Amino acid sequence: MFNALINLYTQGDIAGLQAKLLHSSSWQQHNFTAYGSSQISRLWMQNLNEFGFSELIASEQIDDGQFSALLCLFKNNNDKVVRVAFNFEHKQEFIKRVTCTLDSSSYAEYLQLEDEELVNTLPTADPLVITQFDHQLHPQSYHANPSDLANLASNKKLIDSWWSIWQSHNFPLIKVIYSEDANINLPTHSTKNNTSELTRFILSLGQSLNRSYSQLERVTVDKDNADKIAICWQIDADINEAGTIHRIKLPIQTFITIENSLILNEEIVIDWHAAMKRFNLNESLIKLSNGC
Amino acid sequence: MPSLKKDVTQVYWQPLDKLLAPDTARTQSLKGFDDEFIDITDYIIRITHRIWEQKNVGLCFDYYGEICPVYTLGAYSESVDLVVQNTLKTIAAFPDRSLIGENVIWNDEGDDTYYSSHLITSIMTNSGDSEFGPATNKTGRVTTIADCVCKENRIIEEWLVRDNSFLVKQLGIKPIDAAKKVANNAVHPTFTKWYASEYERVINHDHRKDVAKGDEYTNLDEFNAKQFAQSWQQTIFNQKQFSKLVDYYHLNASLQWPGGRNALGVAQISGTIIQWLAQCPDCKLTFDHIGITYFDEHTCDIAVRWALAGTHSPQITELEHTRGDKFFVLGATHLKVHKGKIAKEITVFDEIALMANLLRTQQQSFAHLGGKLDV
Repeated sequence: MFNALINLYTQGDIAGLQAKLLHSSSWQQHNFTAYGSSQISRLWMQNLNEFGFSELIASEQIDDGQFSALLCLFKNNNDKVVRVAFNFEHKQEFIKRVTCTLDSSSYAEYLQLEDEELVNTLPTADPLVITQFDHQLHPQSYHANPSDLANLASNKKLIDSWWSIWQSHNFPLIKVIYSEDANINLPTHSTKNNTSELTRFILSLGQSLNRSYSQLERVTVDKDNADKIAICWQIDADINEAGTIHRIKLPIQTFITIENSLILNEEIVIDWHAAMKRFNLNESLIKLSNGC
Repeated sequence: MPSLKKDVTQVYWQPLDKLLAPDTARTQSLKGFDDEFIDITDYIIRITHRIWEQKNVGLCFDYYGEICPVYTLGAYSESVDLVVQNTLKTIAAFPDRSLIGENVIWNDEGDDTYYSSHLITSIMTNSGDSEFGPATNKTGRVTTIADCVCKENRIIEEWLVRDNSFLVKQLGIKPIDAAKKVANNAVHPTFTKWYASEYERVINHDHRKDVAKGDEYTNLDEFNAKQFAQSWQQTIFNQKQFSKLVDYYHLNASLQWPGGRNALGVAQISGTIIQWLAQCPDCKLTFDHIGITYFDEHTCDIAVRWALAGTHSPQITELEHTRGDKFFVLGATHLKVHKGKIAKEITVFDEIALMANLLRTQQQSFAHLGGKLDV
């Protein structure tokens, strides 16, 4: 399954991956959902046309049996690297649905496109109505924690603490749960970040995103190594651009590796440009993708 | 509650070639059905494929009763000839329409009658003129739920709901503009009669009566799905007790509602339902049919057909003149219930027809006064 996904980008093996799809499979990418083989193939062809065939320089695979996650770093002829995250539901030989998230900051560099040029190449997003809701964490209201969604065993406290940093801005916990030499890749133009830069990134999100609410979608724990965890989640928030408030939804994929009960590696993948297209925004999200 | 049957075709993980050529023996009595069909799911999947994807529209004459009432929120028909004509018109407007069968939830109604609720995703290009306007040549996706009563190889009654507001948005048409176009089409007097009688039936529902959720269970066969679904609808939609959502939904449950309303988790689900109900704050909802199907050891699929009635409190200015008018919805919901709580909800109704009915009512009222409203 993992190889079929990788071979699509490294060898253009459309037939190989198509054989693993059902008539009712779906592939979500750039906030657009392609259904059925003809729509999905067209999306792949467009990707291959833009990507060319790439070299896989690193990957992380997380498999819990029913859901799996894959993070790939692909390199092109210009030595540019793009991070691509997949989260997919599967059963034996068939894939039912895939969420594919491109780290669009690295994608723009990979394709050597300006932000606006990249946005123009993306498909029109699915229609979305974001309804207003009470984003506050009232004492007796219920909000998902990672341990509500998966058996995290000995990592329960660590991962729930990680979530409280994003959901409740519990910054002191950063020193508690990250290794001193943690390697963090933020969804910004700069890579190989440390915990100070992570803190600054979350603070900058907090400053730009008002009435924000973080919601977990899925927590995938590798069945053979409980220290490898993938998390699909999203932030709903208000963002101000040119004096106008826009309500936005940002899907996010995070990959965490734990060693000695501390987070050693963290990869955060966000498709900023798909959000720019969907919500017709520009500067406000470009600022965030630049890490400020 | 009787055990759920586990040997009827499940669509979710089946490749299409297997669905179209099943190689197992018949698992339901299916009295009067053609020998080739192994169960009710197989019957629905294969006849849908033949009629829509193979474009054998005339097969409706074989698979529909001569008299088959078909209820939608926008129209009523009862002859098989009209079913054929409407199918033909839709295929002409969207010639490449695919019907991807996502699920079939069924119920054995007794008396050799089966009820099926078919969840369909269609991808289709609007290359011909449609009820929403001239061809846009854009491709869209739409979710449909078709509830059918099937007996002796024929569909004898059908309720059809389609998420048309989601579709028209992808075609570049504003939902209110599509509704105005649809409102200009006259409706059959039988539809008006059905609409009025349904409104009266639903508005008189006792919305305050408590319906208990049912006991916790460890074995799926002990789960009283009907009681759970009735309690869910009564508590949330009739009694509007939103703090109890957590009793019915998982903390990461997903919800898909018409027009692109997507929610994840209890807070977002609460907001979505509250915002939508605010356009009909005195609404009452009736639970009209349920189907329950086994999915896996801890999971079942539930299909609910429902109706909602109340008084319109518009949320868009173009409908302001319909404030206080009768608001009526025919809807269908598919739930995936895992370990006693909803993990996934797909609710479908036709918002375009809903708005068109409101506009049409105003047109008719105005016409009575000798004028014509330009909608």
